[in-house]
Order: sequence, then C-alpha cells, then structure tokens
Amino acid sequence: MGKLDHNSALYKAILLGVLCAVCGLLLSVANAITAPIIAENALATIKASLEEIYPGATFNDVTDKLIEKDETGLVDGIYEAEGKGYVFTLHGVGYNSNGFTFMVGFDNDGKISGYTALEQQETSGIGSRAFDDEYVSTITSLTSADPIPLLSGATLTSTAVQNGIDAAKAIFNDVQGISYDPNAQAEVPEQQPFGNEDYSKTDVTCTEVSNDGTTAVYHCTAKGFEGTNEADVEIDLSTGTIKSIKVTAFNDTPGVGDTATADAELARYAGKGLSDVVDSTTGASFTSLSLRAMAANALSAATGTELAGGSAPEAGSGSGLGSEDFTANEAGCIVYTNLDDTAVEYKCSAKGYQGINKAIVTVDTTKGTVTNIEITEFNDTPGVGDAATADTELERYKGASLESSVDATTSATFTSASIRAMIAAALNMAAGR
Amino acid sequence: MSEKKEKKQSLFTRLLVENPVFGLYLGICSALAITTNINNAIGMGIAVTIVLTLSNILVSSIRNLTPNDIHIPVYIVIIATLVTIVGMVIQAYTPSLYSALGAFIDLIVVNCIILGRAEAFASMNPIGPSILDGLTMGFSYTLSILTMSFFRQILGTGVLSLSNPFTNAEIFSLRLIPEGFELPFFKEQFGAFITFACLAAAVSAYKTHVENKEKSAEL
Amino acid sequence: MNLFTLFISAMLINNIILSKFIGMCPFMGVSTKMESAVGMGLAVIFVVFCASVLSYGLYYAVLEPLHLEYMKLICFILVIAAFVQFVELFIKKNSPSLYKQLGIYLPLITTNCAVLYVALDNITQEYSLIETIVNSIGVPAGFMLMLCIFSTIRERLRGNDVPEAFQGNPIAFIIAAIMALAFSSLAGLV
Repeated sequence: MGKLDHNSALYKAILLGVLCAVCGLLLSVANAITAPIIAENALATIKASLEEIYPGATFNDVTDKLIEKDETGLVDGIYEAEGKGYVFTLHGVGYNSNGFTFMVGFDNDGKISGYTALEQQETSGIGSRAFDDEYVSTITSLTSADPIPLLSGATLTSTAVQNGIDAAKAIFNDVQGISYDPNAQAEVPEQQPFGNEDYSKTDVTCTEVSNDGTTAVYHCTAKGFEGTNEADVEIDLSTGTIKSIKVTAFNDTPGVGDTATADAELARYAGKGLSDVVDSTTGASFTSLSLRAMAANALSAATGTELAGGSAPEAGSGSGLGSEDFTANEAGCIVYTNLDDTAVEYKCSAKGYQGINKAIVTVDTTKGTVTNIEITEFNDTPGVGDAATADTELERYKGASLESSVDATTSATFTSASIRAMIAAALNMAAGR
Repeated sequence: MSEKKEKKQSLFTRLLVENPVFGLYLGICSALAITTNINNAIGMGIAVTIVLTLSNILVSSIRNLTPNDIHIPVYIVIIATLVTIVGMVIQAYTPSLYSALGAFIDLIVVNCIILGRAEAFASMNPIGPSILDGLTMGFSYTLSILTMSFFRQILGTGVLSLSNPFTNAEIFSLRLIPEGFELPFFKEQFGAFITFACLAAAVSAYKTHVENKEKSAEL
Repeated sequence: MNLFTLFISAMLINNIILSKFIGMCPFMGVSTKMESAVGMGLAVIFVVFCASVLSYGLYYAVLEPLHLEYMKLICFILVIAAFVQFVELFIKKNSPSLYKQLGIYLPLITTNCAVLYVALDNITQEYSLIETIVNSIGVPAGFMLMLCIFSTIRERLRGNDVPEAFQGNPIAFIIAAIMALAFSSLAGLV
C-alpha cells in the first residue's frame, strides 16, 4: 500500500508543517520585495525636512540598521544622504513637558551641516532661543568631535539639545570611525569685566543715597530673571572699588536665584573695580547679571566713568520706537474709538516701574503717527515717575511714528519706557489694520 | 429560445438572490465600514476577489490531500498568507488605498465569504469550476459594495469621483448634488446602516417576487 | 492613556459594532433572543481577552525580536483558532451542559472579526500590557452590551407589523442605525 494514511497524526503534522513552511517562505519573499517600497513611501513624508539640510540628495533610511547603537533612546530616525553625510531626527524635553523634535546633520568629514527644530513649543524668547539663528550658527560651526555648548538663559532647552546631539554624535562617530572625547565640556564664554558687559536687558538704575567724600552709597535696582532686585552698593571713592553689596529686595526665583545673593557670593564683589571680573554664580545667571549690573552702574556713577557695555536702556538709542524691545513692559492696546477714517483712539496699558500705567493714544492712521497721548492711570512712584507724564513731556510724543526715537525723561526711565511701549503698541496696531 | 432567456434571467437572479452581501449577509463588516466612496469599494472588491480566487485554487488543488479534521487550520493558513501578501502589495503600491482601508485589509481573513466558499465549494470541486466560482462570488461582492458606496458617496458628499490609487491622480469628479444640499450623515455610521437596510430590503423584496413568479409558473 | 478612559472609550464611545462595524456577522444571527445573547456575549469576552493577551505575548516575545512582524496575521489567527478549539474541547469534557448551551457559538467566534480586530489593534496602538488587558475586556463588553440591547428590541419586534421586505435582517439594520445615531452623541466625550 503505497498510499499514505491520511488520518495518521504524523501525516497531519507533516502536512501542516510543510504548509506553514511554504507559506512562511512566500511571505518572506513578498516582504523582501515590498518592504523597501513601503519604507520609501514612509521616507517621502520626512524627506521634505531632510532636504533642508541636504537639498537634492538621495536619502536612505538606515534607522533599523543603526538604531541599536543608540543607548539614550533620544534618536528617532537615522538617514544617510548618499555621498554627503547623515541626518539624525531626535527628540528632547526642555521646559515644555510636551517635548520637542529636531534634526541635526553631519557631513561625512564630521562637520555639523545643519541643525533645525522640527516641532517645538518652548517658551518664546527664552527656551525658543535654542532654535534661533544665534545658537544655530554656534552649533553649525562645530564638528562631530566638539562638545556642544549650552545656551545661557535657555539652560533646560539647550541641555536637551545637547543631549540629543551627543547621542547622534556617538552613533555618527562610531559609524565613521572618528575618535572623540565624549566627556569633553564646552568652554564657557569668559566672564567679562564689569565695565564691558551689556546690561541693557536689566533696566538698571542707581540713585545716590549718600556721599561723604570717601564712601558713596548707591541704591540700585535691576531686573533679574523675573523680578526686579534691589541692592545698596557701597563704593570706596578713593580706590574706585566696591566696598560691599547688600541686597535689599530679592524678587527672583527663591531657591534658584538666591544662591547668587548668599553672603559668600556677595563677598566676592568686595574690592572689585570696573576692570575686574566677577564670575556669574552657576544656576543663577540672571540674578548674577542683575547684581553685576547694579555694581557696575554704581561704580560708573561714583567714578564718573562711562560703561562700555551700556546700562539702562537709552531712549531712542539709534533705533526707532518700532525696534525697541518692550517685552518687559507687556504693553497692550485695544481700539477705543474710531474717530473717523483717519484717526483711531487706542486704550493702552503698560508696566512701568512698579505698576501698570494706562493711557489713551490717538493715532493718525494715514500717516502712522501719534497725534495725542493722554495718561489715564498712573501707578508708578509719585514724585519720581510722574515727571514723564507732565504735559510738556507728553508733547514730545506728538508726531512720533515707529521710526522716530523719543528720549526718555531723565530719572523717570521706567515710566518713560512704559509710555513709549504703549505708543509703539498703538502704532503697531494701527499699521496692522 | 426560452431556455436562453431562462438562463439569462437566472444569472441576474442569482447575482441578486445569492448575493453574498445583501442576500446571504456574509462579509457585512467591510461592506458597512469602507463603502464611503467608490475608490475604496473597487479597491476592496478587487482585493477580496483576488484572495477568494487564489484561495479557491489552492484549496481545490489540495482538497484530496487534506484530512477532514484539520481542514479549518489549513484553509486559515492559506487564506492568511494570501491576505498578508495582498496587504503588503497594497501598502507598497497604493498607499492611499492602504490608509483608506486600514485594518479591514487584514480582516479579509475573517471575511465569511472566503472561508465559506472554500468550505462549501472549493473543497469539493476541481480547480476549473473553483476559479469560476471565486471570480463570480468576488464580482458579486464587488458589485454589492460598489452599489452601496455609490449611494453613500453621492448622497453623503454630493460628488461622484474616482481617482487612480497608484498615482492619486483624479480620473473624474462629478458633482451631482449642489454644494450644501448633500446629506453628510450618509458618510457616517447611521447612513451606512440605513443604506444597507434599504438595499437588503430591496433584495429581499426581489427574492419574494421571484419566488412568487416561480410559484405561479409552476401552477 | 488613562485606563478608565480607555475602558469607557473601548466599550461605549468607540463601540465595536455601532462605531467600527466589526463583529456584525454573528451579531445579526445571535441577537434574536436574550439568553443566546448573554451566552454569546460572555463567551466572546472570554475568548477575546485570552486570545488578545496570548497574541500580545506572542508578538512581543517572538515575532518582534525575530523581525517577523509580517507573520503576525497568520500567527494571530492560528492562535485564535487553536485557543477556541482548546476551549471547546475543555468545555466538552468538563461541563457537557455548558457545552450544550454554548457549543454552537464557539466555532462561530473564530471567524468573528472582533477577536482578530482586537488582537491586531492592541499591536497597532502600541498598548502596554495593562492597556491591552483593559482594551481586550472593554471592547467585547461593548459587544455584549449591544447584543443584549438588540435582543430585547428584536424580541419586542416580533409582534409588530414590519413591512415584508424589511422583515428579518433589514429591520435589524434600521434599529442599528438609530442606535448608532444615539451612541454617536458620545463621540466628543473623551
């Protein structure tokens, strides 16, 4: 009997086994044929972004091949640009807990060919600076063997970027056989002497409190990270150096910025003059900056030396109202009355020294100039800030446009800034109509 | 002469009465889910026809080798392999169709039509008739879901359009209902069920009519 | 995703029958009587849960490490078929009365789109094990809920004057249409 017994268990097992083997074989053949095409379709979606770094290049998705080399889990995709280099898509979490995604490209010789954000929602003006031209050009000037520097003031975001690029570097250098020191730290830019640093963002002001010929004491205020700090700076007039700094008001982040105001840190300022350097306290860059601003301005006022880096925002310093930075004033306007086709009244408000000032700004929409400004609410220091709200002072704003620069009222810098901010906001709104 | 007429009627009747979707209620899951436009219907119909025909061929060719008690797993393996291959091909060459049909490509495996025909016909008949049966059933299924999509697309979007799934180029687009007057609920679950119910009722009515005619012919 | 939200979404909001159209084939056949509805419903919950967890384990323990993801359809459907077969034999041996009640439904469940769909969906959505468990209980629970509701409605329908053409399955689809409309109001909940 040559015929197989169809009902034997062995026969059934063999039949099923052969069937599964044949099917498995067919499937792996089909997979081998179609998988590359499917991968290419998927690649097409990301290709547009990849071409920002290597326009016109042929890309191969080598993620599956190389992803095992990634120990950090930060690498999402690895793409080889044939003949040119590699592009890595990465993700990271900075300040915004939703995280962000970005790409970095390396030329075959190791030079970083590109660095751009894919999707990010970091705080505008703070964390988002890690994706602005300044930091981008810093990074693209480096190679895969160099350490990635952090960006001061955007520490969280730039740390996440640094970690991502380091992860990409590790894989890239491994593939290309480039040796590098994974533990190298980027050089921190040298701290400048007092006299040369740029304090314009701190809105620092100093007023003389006492001066007996040998020692002068200045009460200063300067913006730190989120609040304005105040300190009394004692200057030795004979040597032109600081005798002491006493912080009288601290309005930055407790537990973070106040490491810079510790006695031991403040003691480092003693004996220093305008040409000396006092290092920033790590982790409290903004508060340190505010302290240095106050110290520098006190020294400058006491010794009569001008600061090279600039101090309180000079009103109308070359750039017009339209280009001055008013973010600190948080100015806002709403349309109050449409007088006629050519004039609109805006109800505006802006932060001044210690409170919010409000005004009605009338704008000639055809010429883009201010025809009138009326202060409706004044909440700064009476006797100090209101010098800027005097009618004679307000007259100077008439006819101003976004291109004009209007000087601040002396000793009423903050209130003047708030007025200028409101005018700029009203003019911008009128222009946007 | 009348014999030919009878045969012709019988083909049309068979198409309606033994319609797998509206007559026998097989494969309804896909009929309801993907029939939002005729592109999807044609794509799905062709996929099902290919799988059905090939599975009929394979099942028929090994029908004498398969013992009865393992025939279900054997058929399942064959059908699953075919569906996976068809799915890969669709994903590679017509990605727009793949994203439109979604999970329902994989669910062709459990489309009652395919296993049903394998068991009811292909396991007992030679390859030739099995091929014909597969093609007929597949064609009938395609026609059914095409009809459903036709109604749902016209009533739901007002536009009858067809595009080439390989290149996404539009073949034609006809606006039949002025904009703003279409009934969007036909694109959704409610419309799917209603369309299906009405078409099933129509087929059922026709079935009764045919039965009555046959009865009166016999008398 | 929050587990409770996942459960409610699986059972009610994205109800497998009214919202996804899966599991219709046995649905039409079994939803005519309440007792059979309950029996089928419980059987489906049990099968879907066990088969999904098994498939999940198979995928992540065997298929993925070996880069055989394309084999998942064959493997899953074989797992389901084998599991149902095993359960049927087990019930037949241990509880003949239960077998008599449920016996006819078990082979039917193998070709139930729902089982395969849930197993595949757990992989597509990249759920963790605990999310898979919640999803695999929630979906068939929704199926059972629909079965029970429908069977009560269809039982009442038997005494009504349904037009001849609509009798049987077509009227059931009209009922389904109205229920789908009712349940679609839950759509924005999650």
